[in-house]
Amino acid sequence: MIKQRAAIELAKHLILITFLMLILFPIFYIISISLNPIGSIGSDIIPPHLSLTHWRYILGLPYTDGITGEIKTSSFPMLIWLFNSIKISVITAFLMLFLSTTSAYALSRFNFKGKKFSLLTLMIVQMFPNIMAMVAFYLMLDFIGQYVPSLGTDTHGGLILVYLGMTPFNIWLIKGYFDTIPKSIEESAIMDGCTRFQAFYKIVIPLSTPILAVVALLTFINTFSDFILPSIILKTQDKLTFAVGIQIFVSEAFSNRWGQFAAASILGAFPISAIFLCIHKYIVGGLTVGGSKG
Amino acid sequence: MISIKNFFTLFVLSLGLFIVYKLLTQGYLLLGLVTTCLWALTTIIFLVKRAFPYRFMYPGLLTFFLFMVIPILFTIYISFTNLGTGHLLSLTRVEEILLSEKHTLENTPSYNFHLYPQNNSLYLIHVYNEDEKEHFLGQFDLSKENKSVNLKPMSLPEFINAPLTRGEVFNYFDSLSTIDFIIPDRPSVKIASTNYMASIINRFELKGDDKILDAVTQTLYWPDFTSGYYTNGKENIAPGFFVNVGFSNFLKLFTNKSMKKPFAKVITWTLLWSCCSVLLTFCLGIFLALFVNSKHFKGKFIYRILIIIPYSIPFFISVLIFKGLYNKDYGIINDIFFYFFNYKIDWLGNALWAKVSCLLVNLWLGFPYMFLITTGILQSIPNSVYEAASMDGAGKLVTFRKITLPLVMSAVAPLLVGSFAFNLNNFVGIYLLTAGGPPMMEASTPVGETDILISYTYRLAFEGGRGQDFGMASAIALIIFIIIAFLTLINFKLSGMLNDKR
Repeated sequence: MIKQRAAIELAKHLILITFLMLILFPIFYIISISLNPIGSIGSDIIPPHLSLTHWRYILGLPYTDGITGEIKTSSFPMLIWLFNSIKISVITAFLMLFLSTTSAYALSRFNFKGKKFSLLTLMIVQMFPNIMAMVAFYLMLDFIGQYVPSLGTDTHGGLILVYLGMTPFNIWLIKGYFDTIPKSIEESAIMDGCTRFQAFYKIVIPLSTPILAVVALLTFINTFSDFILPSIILKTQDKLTFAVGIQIFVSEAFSNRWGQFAAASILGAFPISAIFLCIHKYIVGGLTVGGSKG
Repeated sequence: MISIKNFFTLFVLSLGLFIVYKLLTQGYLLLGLVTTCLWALTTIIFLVKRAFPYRFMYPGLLTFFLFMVIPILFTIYISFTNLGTGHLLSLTRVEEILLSEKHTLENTPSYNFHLYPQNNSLYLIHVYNEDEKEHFLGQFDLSKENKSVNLKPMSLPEFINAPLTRGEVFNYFDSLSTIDFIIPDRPSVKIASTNYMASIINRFELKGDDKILDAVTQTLYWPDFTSGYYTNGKENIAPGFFVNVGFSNFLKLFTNKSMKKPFAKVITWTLLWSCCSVLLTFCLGIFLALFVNSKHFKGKFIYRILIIIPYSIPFFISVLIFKGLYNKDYGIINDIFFYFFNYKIDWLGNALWAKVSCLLVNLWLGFPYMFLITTGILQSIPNSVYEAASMDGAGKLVTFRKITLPLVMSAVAPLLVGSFAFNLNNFVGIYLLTAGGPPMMEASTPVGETDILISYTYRLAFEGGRGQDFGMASAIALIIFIIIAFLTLINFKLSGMLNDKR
């Protein structure tokens, strides 16, 4: 009996491992390609010998050209793209945190006219992904840009502005957490002479660090991974985000740039993947509210 | 005394007023009115003491309003216009552009000129014929606004200092080009370039309220609010302006021969794509969840992490990787296929296989999400339920069908609807893999076999080639809106959110 159970267990492990190997194959393959000195699209799974050519290429270091043997540096600003993406995502995450925390606090603690309506509106509108209004975004930024050039099209400011509309989901998430913090703590602080605002940022905010971190990281990931809005709004090569830059880079000459693309995709994916895996437990709770990863 | 806070408030409020003014005078009526309401709201919230809670609400709701609600309203507005290439400007702007259009009269004398700086901002202008037979001289003060300057004929003058270079003339060009230079017994001339003068007139002049007269051909044009052009009945003048076209964009989608069929195909594929994606990912997800979460199974944690790895990679990267793997001639998938079946599939070039490829990639991207949420739900089912079932003699299959599945389904249903809505707009999953292709042959717009509504919208609006059609793109976006709104309603029914007191 025990033997039979162990056999089943073993079979299960074998099935799962085979499945996982199949599923994770593209990832192993892309790692292998990034270290393959040839690195064209038809390369073998196991590289003849390991080489860092592609990594040197994407990091902007001098590398040896695989065909001619010349020593060159890449003309594509990969690291600038990566930096742009990180910059935009970090700023968006922080602004988003500020915007949604205050709103969530009001919705959690105060009673005012229109509260129910606001909650319902937020609930409904967060179902509509903002990319549906892409034409409107483009025209709005074009229009704003005539008066405030740093917030127009082809600017990071404009792109961040557009992202800031996506507060509803985060407001819901944070409000849910605030609701679990007892009101009595703040009330006694206010009795002792705190103002409402002080009670908010000296007591409630420190108590909700976990959810705030999750919201910030989630916003960071979603902004980093967004493709459609930056591809509409940004035009200049040096201003592109990683997503748009890498897509243009690889689509121009798919078979020749496969190795460089492999290295670049690992560089871009690894940090995001690591953050996600660290906070996935918290995200599941959030996802069940929102329904999807944006 | 004005404190910093009040000063800031004042600043923000006056900035708002400025924006409202600009919008209304530029002909953005709807946008202007919405902004006005918003501005009034801001004023109330910041000036009325009782509105204290709203101040907390305000920042988050403001950006939500500005960059979510207004864009949605604006999209609805655009979908009823012909905004797009050739019709990008408002009537007011087009009128301005036409009225500032210049025309050089033919068969009139033209001249060259030099400018000589005198004292202060006084300038001497020396105007001469191309063959240098005639010379005229005039003087004017560039610091003042000059409407016209009289020129006097004279024999070749001598100048002490050097004339301005063409580059220097260019710096003053804006103020110079408006001056009329009057030559006795000749048509007056204007400065046309940095060394050239000719008789230039305004091409159009305003007649009555909205008509314009072509000064050269003496024909009268009036704005036609159905086509969005100034017209004389036969000819139109470019550029056009955008006008309200009613339901014409929607009618085109449903009745126009060359649009109807592709649109029907796109909408069918969109729904099929979302359905299949949800179904496939859910089936694989729940199967894995049951498999990994069974009792006494060792290494759950490691497996769980490994399974969600595909989901943790940004979608745009995974999809691009798959695009390489699917490559017809060199891709690894076809290499393997060729090895076993001696046949290569045109994964992304054939309509059917392209759809299959999209679905397979989306399955790879999405099943970990379903795995995650079903795992969560399975763990929340108390063990006692299963114990009771086994006490009553229920087998494994019966337990699954009668207990696990109903419990999971009721919890997961709203999430499935949410996932459906997400896939409806899964732009990256389609566009980065196939770019919508392979193209549909019969279509008059850029559209391909794997295009879903959102990628069709994108291509109509932002993929050059055949011009940008913002009006039509917004019309399609509005159709997506309606579908999503419908799904939201279903979702609320499923989760009982509407009855729920929150």
